[in-house]
Amino acid sequence: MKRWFTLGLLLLSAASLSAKGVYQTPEAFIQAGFQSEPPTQNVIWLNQPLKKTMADILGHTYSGLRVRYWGKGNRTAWVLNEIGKEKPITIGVIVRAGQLEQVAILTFRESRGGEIRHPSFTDQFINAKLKNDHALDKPIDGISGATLSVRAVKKIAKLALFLHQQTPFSDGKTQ
Amino acid sequence: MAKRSKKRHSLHQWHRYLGLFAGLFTLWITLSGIALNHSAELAFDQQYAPSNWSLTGDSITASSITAYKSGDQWVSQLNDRIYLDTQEITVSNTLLIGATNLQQMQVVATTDSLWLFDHSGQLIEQIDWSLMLPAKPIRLGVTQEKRLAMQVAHNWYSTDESMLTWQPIPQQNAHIVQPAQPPEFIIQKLLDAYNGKSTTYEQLLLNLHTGRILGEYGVYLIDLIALILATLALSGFTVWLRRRQ
Repeated sequence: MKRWFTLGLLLLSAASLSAKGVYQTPEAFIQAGFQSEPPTQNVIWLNQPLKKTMADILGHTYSGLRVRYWGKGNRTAWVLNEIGKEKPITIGVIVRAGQLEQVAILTFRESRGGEIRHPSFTDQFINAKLKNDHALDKPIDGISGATLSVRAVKKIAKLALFLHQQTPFSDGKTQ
Repeated sequence: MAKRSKKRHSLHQWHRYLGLFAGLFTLWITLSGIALNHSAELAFDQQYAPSNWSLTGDSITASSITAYKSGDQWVSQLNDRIYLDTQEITVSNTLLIGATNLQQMQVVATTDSLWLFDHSGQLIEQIDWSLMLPAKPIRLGVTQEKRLAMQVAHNWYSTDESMLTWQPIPQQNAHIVQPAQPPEFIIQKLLDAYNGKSTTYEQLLLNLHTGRILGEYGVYLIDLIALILATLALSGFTVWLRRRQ
């Protein structure tokens, strides 16, 4: 009886847990990523070829005509939203010389799939590069029950790598 | 023995009457619950119920509209919808605090984001205030140099032409953008558009499932049904147990 009661309590507490929340503000993400050297804020205006490639990566049209980013040296930072199942997940990405340096879940709004916020998942992206076919050059292990959220993070990681290539920071000559 | 039998009979009767009463509502809750479970597959979350089905108890009137004159156009908010003239351009759960026409863009400020649109209503960019200002702004203004200005607490900040960097400015440099009453035809079109798209079938089912469709007392009615169903489970179990004995 006691065993069933404990199991019931555990199930109830697990059901009440929700991963929704702001884990890091975009401002804190940028500050933490560029501690010693404050980046400059820039925008990329999206022309038709760029929008087409972005749509190929995302699987849908990007709603906007320009994308804001932060850059310094050969590094750029991006704060982008992508819908997991129903609601947008805000994801922060830092790219260094064409390789992913950091991927972080800043705000998670879905009721399921919040496991993607854990470093055990996001650290898999470190050092990943974009191949010519706009796929990542290393495999990313999924999380059962969080398929759509995982897919959203992968899309944004690829998008940030692609957009980094379009910036003057991609060759590291811009300060 | 006779006393025990009478008690069992009484429990049986209570179980039966409660079951009959709750049965009808159980059908209601079960069917609406099944429909809700499949609302995404059936696209109930994307289809709107006719306006006279709204049944949410909310009354949408002209006073629910907040509007700003922006160049030759009007930017208005009605609940969570933001409109450029009569065209819905975005959905935001935060309050519209101002709109103005700068650098051939419609600059729309809500409490959590800056939205830039072109004059056809195409989104150019949406950016979170936390990436630009020290706190959420409360008011929008325009400087004499035609630059965007925002009030944050007691301080004012203005931005450059590309709206990338922000600098503190004296308060007197900012001309505050004030809300205004849009023309009657815009009000009427917004109300018509909103009422025709105010309640999705999913929301309607949710209101049905939770009892909200009957107003605030409907929720208590569903609570009562839930308690009766719990009681039925207990009384049914007790009757079964006694029969075994």
